[in-house]
Amino acid sequence: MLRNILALFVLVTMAATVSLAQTIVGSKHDLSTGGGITNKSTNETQVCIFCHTPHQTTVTATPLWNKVLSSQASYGVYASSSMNATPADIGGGTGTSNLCMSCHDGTVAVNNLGNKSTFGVPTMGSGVELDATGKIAAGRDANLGTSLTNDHPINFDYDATLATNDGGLVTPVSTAWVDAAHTIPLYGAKVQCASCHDAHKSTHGSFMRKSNAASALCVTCHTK
Amino acid sequence: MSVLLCLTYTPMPLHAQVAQSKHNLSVSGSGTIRATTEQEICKFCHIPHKASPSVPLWDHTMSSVSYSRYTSSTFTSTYKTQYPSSSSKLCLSCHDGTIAIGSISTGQITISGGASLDPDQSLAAGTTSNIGGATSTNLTDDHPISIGTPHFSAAQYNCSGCHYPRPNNIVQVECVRCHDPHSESKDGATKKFLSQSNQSSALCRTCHKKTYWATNPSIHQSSTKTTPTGWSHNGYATVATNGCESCHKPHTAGSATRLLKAVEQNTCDGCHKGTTNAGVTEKNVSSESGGPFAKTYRHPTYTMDTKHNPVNASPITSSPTEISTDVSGSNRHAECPDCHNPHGAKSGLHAVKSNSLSNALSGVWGLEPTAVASWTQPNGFTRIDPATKEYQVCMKCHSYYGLGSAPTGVTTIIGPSGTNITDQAMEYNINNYSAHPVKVGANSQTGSYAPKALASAQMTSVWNTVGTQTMYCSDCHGNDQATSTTVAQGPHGSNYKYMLTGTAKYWPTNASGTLWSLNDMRSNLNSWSTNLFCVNCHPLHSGGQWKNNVHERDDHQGSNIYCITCHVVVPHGTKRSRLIGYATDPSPYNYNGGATYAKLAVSGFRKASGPFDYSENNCTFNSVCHGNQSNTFDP
Repeated sequence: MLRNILALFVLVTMAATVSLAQTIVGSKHDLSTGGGITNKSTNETQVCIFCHTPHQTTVTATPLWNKVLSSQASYGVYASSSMNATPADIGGGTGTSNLCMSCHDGTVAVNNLGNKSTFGVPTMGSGVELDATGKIAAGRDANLGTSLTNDHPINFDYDATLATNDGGLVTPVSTAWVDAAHTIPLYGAKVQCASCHDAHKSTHGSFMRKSNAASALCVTCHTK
Repeated sequence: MSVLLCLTYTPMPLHAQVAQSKHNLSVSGSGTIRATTEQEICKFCHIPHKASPSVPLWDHTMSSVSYSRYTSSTFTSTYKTQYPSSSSKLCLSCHDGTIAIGSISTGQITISGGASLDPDQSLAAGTTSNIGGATSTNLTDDHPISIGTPHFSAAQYNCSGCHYPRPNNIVQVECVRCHDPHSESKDGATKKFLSQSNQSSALCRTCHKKTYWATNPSIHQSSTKTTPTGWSHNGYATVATNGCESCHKPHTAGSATRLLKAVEQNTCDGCHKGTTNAGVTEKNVSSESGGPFAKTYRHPTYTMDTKHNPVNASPITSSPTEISTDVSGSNRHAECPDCHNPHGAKSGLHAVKSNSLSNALSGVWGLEPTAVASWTQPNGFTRIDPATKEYQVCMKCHSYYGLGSAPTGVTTIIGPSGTNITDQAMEYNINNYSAHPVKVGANSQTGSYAPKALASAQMTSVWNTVGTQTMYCSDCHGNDQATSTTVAQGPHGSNYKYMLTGTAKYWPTNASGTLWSLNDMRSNLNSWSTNLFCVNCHPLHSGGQWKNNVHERDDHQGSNIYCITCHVVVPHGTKRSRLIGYATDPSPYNYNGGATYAKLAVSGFRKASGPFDYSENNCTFNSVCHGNQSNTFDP
């Protein structure tokens, strides 16, 4: 919690000092009337509300979560004979990656919120990213579906033991970061969606935490 | 805190080996084949979301062709139902040459690669990386993958070589057993993404247990000779460090069966052609200039390709064998591995007065014919692996096993010297009345009667243990350059009939084609002392002395009476003592020339008690010369 608050503080500080193009504002995660998708809202001007609310959220999740979570009970996990990690199914949970999946499994409309503006449910415009019910459209890259068996594993412990057993991974510098430069975070020593993605920062495309030129993001962990 | 760290952030050096390998297909790659603009490295194969197949988060477009597979007569495994396995199909999605290198789920990344790529940007046929060949479907000349059960014997293979934990599962033989696609230089000399160093075939031998190689190895295991320029396909310089790959090639082999570098003998003569032909060995065993297989009389090695058909023997630890029908009839052949085991052959030739297998033949299997009654054709054999005697190697072809039925010892097969080939197993049967001591010393020739051995004076000085000494087939048959340092010994090929070797090489006729006679010795004609084959070991006439009183007789020394009037032309062994033949004997034992004595004439012979104890009573000659004798003649 402390770190989340710190992160928010940092974000706010950065937002004040860097250009808008590098923040959520105007990105594809900005679903407001000024947002970056074709289906952007026609009436909701608030940016943060699609995920966060400052008070009395009806969605029980941190950080101040406002987006109705998916009820998907199981997503499955990636499995491979050459993998030493043991990912746990995030289905039915309220962890950090469940927040992402509240939109990206394609089962819940992006405008299905806890607290809403006075006019109620935001109206989404027409476009290609969302289907008629406000869910991320099937076939879109952003719709990962309800199976995570063909996606990079998440929700597994990434520690020195794993690195040693695997032989192809760097040893994380702490339970909070993979690398000394603090470009790839861990969440309680676990890899989550947010290890690679920064939902608030669109600089590198696909909300990647860093440029993947020369696969720099991948090789922060993978010593291939 | 985070901001400060961001400000001081410097990119980590790219750890990883894939970035520095040819599999870095991004614009930063160092190989010939790389993208024109794409910067990401992993994406040519992997995608983090919605991968297909899901393991290992795969994204390169998969090939849909079906492949023809490796097989051989000694390959006992089955393939998995799913061939190739999903794992190996990943590699083949580029390496069969059907799919563009940059073809991934999100489109096609533009690649430059010059002649290494076809116009559709797939790997061009003929490049090392394209193992599918021109058809993109040919895996017959590649090491087998996706091997199922039942499979090989633990006697031939290390179980742990294939069934290795990786780490949560058991993985069988797939591309990744030998290759690590993320690391090009674990074998720094060979590269090729080998999964470990293959110096001296360390990688090959994690699975393969070759008989002899580990415990009693061939000179091929330790030779520091430099591999010929252009012959080695990996990064090593010597025969020893190239190891298996001195002769074998695991992909796109020159000869698919057993993954040889070239067709049968051409695998061997890549090195064994003499230094003057840019080979490795001083001695030339090839068909190239100066080699024995360029000569007139030779074993059918270069002329009978694809006939050699070894099959696994029992127990499986023994060398592969060849069944009778594969070495007889139209399949008669003599490939290098019929006489030599390249995994066991050592440097060194045989010594005199022995028939023990020489080093050059070490590790090869042979046949020991079952002893039968005098002058009958043995048709039973015991397989000896490895052979202990040289003749056991020869018997694989020069017996019923390779010749078929020949009750008189004579086959209908015409040999290179123009005469009918005879059965050496029949001729060297120990129950015969006489035979050269190829199988056993003369005193152990069961069918012989006393005196079994010749007298010492009837032999040259090196053959000084008469009665117990034995000899090799190759004492008489071999390369015509008997003491050459540039041409291999042994009966590979010769410019002399029957590949006769030694100082003297003419039999049964002299250099002019006239039959040898005792008159040649008495009158010193036709360079008999250096040309008559028999005198290599038998002095016959020296110091003015004959060595027995039969040769000594004046009336045996007429110029129209020949060696072959009394002795068989094929002097291996006979049903009579002292290699005497009777007039009733068939060709080619009987020269059967036109003149009265240009053929066998004797009709009865009885060996005397000593070389000078012969009388007219020991022989009858068409009831003419010696009259009607009443001795107990040999049958």
